[in-house]
Amino acid sequence: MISEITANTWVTVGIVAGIFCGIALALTILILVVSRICKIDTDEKLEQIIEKLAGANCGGCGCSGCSGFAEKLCKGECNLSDCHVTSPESKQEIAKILGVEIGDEEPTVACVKCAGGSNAVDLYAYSGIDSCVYNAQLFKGAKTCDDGCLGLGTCLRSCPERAISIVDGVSVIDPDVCISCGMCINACPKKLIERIPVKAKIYVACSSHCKGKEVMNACKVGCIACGLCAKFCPEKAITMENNIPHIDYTKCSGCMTCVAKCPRKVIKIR
Amino acid sequence: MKNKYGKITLDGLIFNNPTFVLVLGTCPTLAMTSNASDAFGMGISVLVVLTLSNIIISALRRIIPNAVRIPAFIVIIATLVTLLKLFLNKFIPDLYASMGTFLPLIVVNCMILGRAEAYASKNGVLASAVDGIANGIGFTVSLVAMGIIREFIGSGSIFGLQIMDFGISFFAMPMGAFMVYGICIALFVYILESIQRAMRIKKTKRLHGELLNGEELNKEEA
Repeated sequence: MISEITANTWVTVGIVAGIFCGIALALTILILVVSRICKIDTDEKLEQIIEKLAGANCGGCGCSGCSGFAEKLCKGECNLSDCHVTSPESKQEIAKILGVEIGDEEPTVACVKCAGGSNAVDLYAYSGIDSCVYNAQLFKGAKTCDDGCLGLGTCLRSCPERAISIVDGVSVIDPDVCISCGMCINACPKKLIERIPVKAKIYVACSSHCKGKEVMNACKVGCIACGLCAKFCPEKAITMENNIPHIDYTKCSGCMTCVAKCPRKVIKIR
Repeated sequence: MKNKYGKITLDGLIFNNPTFVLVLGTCPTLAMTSNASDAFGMGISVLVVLTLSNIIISALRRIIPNAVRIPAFIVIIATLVTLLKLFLNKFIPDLYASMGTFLPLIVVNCMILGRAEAYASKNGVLASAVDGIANGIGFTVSLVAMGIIREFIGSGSIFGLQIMDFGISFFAMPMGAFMVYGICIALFVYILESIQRAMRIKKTKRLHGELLNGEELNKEEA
């Protein structure tokens, strides 16, 4: 049964609302007074820095998001170079706020240094948990090559920008999407992912440290460490280190001699 | 009168222990007991908020209209938590950082609203204060006990002091929290029931004894 709404009801409602609002108002004033007393001097720099950071919250620097990184920057526990996402211009501005000098840094992207996948010979058929980390614990992974991409997508799941896809059994990073945060570099159990400059024209698509014959047996597209690239590079930008060519991108002029000379087509054009 | 406060205290501490008997406020119990000092900080924070909210709600119980009772309680509790947050941020920033989001979550701790609704809104200020303190201590002790167990098994230390060099990290994680919580409840209830049984037997014996004595007296009279 619904009782009739009379003037009396409205008075009751008014009293109830009044008491409630009165309590709320008193408590609000109390909070305002106490917050004035317990005021904390926040660092002005902090908010300025947070504004300038990329705000990707990727966690690649090892801090809990960008605000955590900014806090550590202010305390001097982190270096600006730990962040690879923020643009160099913004970094210069942050350095100005912090009062430190930083050198000119080139923007980078992550790059998978393996082209194996279906070209690489399988050691056994793996049907365990869908994770490279677990597979890598079993006879160093399901590939005959010890430094081959296992293609189970651990890097793909770690990427905050979804820049990684698995093509033909190998992880491929889209350089236009990659923010170079470094999450995949930490996630890959085989350590196949490296940062290269955005301007780089070529990259070495193999990480095997084995000698030629072993590579021949393990993979159709692996580096056999013939050293032709290093021999013919006109800029002397390529050196052979531990049976794999290493490109010094500061010297590389992008003449593509190495790409033409490589018998296994390991050095690729980006 | 003294007996009344004793009963309130024992109820809050043991017989209606909020954590192990009523299973209230489970969220901080599970989340904040990975080490003993965090558990202690959480327990004390809840103790303070619970006691103050009980006092204020009990003092205002005749003013607050019954219809807007729950919003009014929540507003009072939220205010107290906000004050506590400001206070901790200013004076104990380490604890503030380690409590993270669980500090504002005290607002919706069912134990605090539960005591306000079940006790403070019906009883006097002093009794409500005692009730708040007793329940708060019961909560703190339970949390610290769980914190000590989990910290010791999880990392071999107690209150940050390294005692043994071992650690089963499982117990520092949420699954470990559930397991330790379950075992603690089982143990607590087991001990509580055996005590109550012993008390019941004692009471029966005493009654029996009085009866026998009475009979003997009757005989003597006769």
